[in-house]
Amino acid sequence: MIQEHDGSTELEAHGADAAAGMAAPIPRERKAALLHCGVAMLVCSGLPQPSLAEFLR
Amino acid sequence: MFAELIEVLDAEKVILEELVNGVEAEIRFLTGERFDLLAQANRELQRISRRLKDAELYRALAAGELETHLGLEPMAALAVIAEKAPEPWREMLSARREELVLLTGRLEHSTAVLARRITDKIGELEEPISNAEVPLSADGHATTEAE
Repeated sequence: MIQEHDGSTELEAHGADAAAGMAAPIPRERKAALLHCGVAMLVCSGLPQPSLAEFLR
Repeated sequence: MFAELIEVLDAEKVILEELVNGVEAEIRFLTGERFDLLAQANRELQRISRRLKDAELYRALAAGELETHLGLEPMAALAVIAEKAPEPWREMLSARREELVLLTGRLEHSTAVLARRITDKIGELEEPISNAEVPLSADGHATTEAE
């Protein structure tokens, strides 16, 4: 267990947050990674071009 | 007219190869968690996709002229156009079709792999956040349904 500055433990602090219904903040790097993953999903969802697939059927 | 369609199909082949390479690069960046490179690759893929959209317009125009010339229904498939075309165009068009079918198959496969990897990675990235939301009991332990 890690002792926090106020003397409480990390788990206690976590428990208090959860009890208050608060989600842990998402780190900035993780937010960026999620965003890039989302964009990649959007880009690849339009591939290959449906009109080309129809032409090659 | 035939030469024009072949030219457009060759251009589309180059674009499709670039797309396959781009999607395969995205899979590598995702596996290596190089999200900075993934962002660059996203921009590049968007540029290449726009080029494919433009090429598809040129392709539709070139194919449309041939459909009229050969007395075919609008939106005819390349296989039908090739079948009605005189030699040497028939063979040239059929060869292009085979190459493009192979490439689009590769692209479909790669994008399916990429989509699965993205879904997995998003799950991984969100995992600790979800864990933080698991209700904890007063003594700080995660509660389960059994409790």
